[in-house]
Amino acid sequence: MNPLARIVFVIIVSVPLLVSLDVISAGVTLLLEIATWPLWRGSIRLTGRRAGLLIAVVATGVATSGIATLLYGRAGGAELFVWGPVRITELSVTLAIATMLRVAALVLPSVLVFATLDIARLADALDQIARLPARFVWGSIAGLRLIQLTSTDFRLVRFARRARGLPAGPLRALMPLMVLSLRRAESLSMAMDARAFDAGTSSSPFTARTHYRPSVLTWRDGVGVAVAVIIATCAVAASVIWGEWRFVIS
Amino acid sequence: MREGASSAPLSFLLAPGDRVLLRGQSGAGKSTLLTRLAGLDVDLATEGTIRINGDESHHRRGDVGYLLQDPLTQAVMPRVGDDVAFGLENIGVDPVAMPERIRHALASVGLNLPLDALTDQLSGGQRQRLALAGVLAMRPSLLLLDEPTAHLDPAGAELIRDAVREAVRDRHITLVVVDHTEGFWADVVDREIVMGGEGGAKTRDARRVPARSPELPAHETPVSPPQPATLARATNLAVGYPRSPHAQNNLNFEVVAGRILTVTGPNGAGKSALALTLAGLIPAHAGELQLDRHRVPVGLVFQTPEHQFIGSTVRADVVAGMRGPRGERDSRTHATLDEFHLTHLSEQNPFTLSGGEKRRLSIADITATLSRDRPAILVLDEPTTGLDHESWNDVVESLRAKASDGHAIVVITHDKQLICAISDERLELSS
Repeated sequence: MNPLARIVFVIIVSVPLLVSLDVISAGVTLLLEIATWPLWRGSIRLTGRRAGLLIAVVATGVATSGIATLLYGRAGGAELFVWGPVRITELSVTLAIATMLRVAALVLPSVLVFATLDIARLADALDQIARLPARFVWGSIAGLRLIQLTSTDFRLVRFARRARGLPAGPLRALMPLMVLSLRRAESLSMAMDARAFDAGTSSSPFTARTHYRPSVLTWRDGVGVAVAVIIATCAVAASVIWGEWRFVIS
Repeated sequence: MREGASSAPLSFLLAPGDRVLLRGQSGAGKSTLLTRLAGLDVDLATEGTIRINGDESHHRRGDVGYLLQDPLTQAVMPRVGDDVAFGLENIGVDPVAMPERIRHALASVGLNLPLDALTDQLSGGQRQRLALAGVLAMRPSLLLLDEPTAHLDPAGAELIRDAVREAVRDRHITLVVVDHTEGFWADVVDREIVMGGEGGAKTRDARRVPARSPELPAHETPVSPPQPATLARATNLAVGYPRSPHAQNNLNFEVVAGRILTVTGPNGAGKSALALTLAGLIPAHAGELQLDRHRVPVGLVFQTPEHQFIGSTVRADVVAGMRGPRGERDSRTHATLDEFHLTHLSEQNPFTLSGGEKRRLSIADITATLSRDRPAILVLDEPTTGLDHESWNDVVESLRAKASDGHAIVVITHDKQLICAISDERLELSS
């Protein structure tokens, strides 16, 4: 699937989860997400180690939100356990389960999509399909590369201060780091210009930019978005039918 | 561009197919000239005009392939194939023709990597080759190269030169290359343009350029100090960056007062990691490094000069890190600025200097901290990268002087002539 369609998928399935706090909509969404996994499997490449890491991220998010709601969530119904500020009640147990399901249903697809997103392919899509300005899209991609350079710079600037016997706290390195980053950015943008970036906009003899990797939407992307709409609709419908629909703001 | 960085008026004519080596002292304006030729920065403080095929040069962007100095910021895309494609996309090449041109460009610079290799994980030498491939793939009619071999080991440098020679062979491409290694481009270029210095720019026939080495004073063994003392001894030392595999295993060497040890090895062999280990900035992976850091200070000149700049002026940068009474510091600063010919730049911001001037300052910074009565170890990581002939001689002289003052010098370098000129001991790292 196209990266853009994947992001749209995540946004659509998240809508019911963001507006309602109930077990049914979250549970249905989570179930249907897992049921549509075969649809995704082909396009998401995960090595064992990364998969483990992602599971850990999802599990941590689910567990912490669940425990917090359980201990400190809105109280109601019979009290099960009280200790200082901690009040576990029937309502807080229900809310905790709903929260955990909701977080799992939200985080699972987002983590999968964003962790496996090829940033350059997303840029292709933003450039060619969303038709954002090329200067903005590719400038941002280049900017992302600066982050890695900056972390190396940061380490070496601190090393250099230490080597000269000067205080090398992180704050001390900040100023030279900023100067360095600006110069790097300047040099990177010059490197882009040196390869005729944005040459098509001036009075140059060149025609418009072409695309090494065409980014197109196919029937698969249509199916993916349709599936997202179906999941969201099912979640809302099931929740309303069971009478569990509960707006977050109320 | 900083004020005062200027060259005498310069006029020259490049005919299609010309191959020119552009030389001159650091700060003479070589990079500025290339940038103007590329039509990139019309705001630069330059006078006069440049016309390419009769047009003002900035209308001809894309016809010009320009390889800039800093290899770290040359890669624009996260993946190798996309990076070469970037320029092709910008000049509107038909996507059908791209894969072939990308493959051909990568092969011509000898970069045998999968197209989806990550550019962030490339070594300095690989980055430089990738950048050249990106430029060559665009099939420019004018090729501008700013110190294309500065960060490469000798084998890598020859590879780049051969790729360029091949690209310009049929004379469809006009070549202007900036480089300080004399004689290295002799069989590629037809003539030289020398910028700056007395009498402004002049051109001469490249084939009559004497190589750098014969002009060198012969290397004399330094006068040994009364008792040659071993300041540091490595036994079965393994070095590498933290949380990375060993880059080198089982290193055995001694760092001796008054002697110069040169360390060589291909890109990625762990030379910089060894420098950081000697300076005590990263721990050794294994083995033993006997070095009493309380008694013997270790100074390190970093590979990238910008990383060590601290002061807001050249003078302040030299003073930072100096010990001792004020009067002594002042006189030592004065002497150091003089020694490295930086006095006229002493109020400039270090970041605005040219590449060669930055290098000189980075060495001056550290040599200024050495004291005659306390032997120290001075480690230099690629100290001659991007230096013109005179600065190169200054560095050689300074290092010899520091050695005869009783300091131990460790020089990490690819520069064969530097090794011939100063090496007492050699340590060769394998890949």
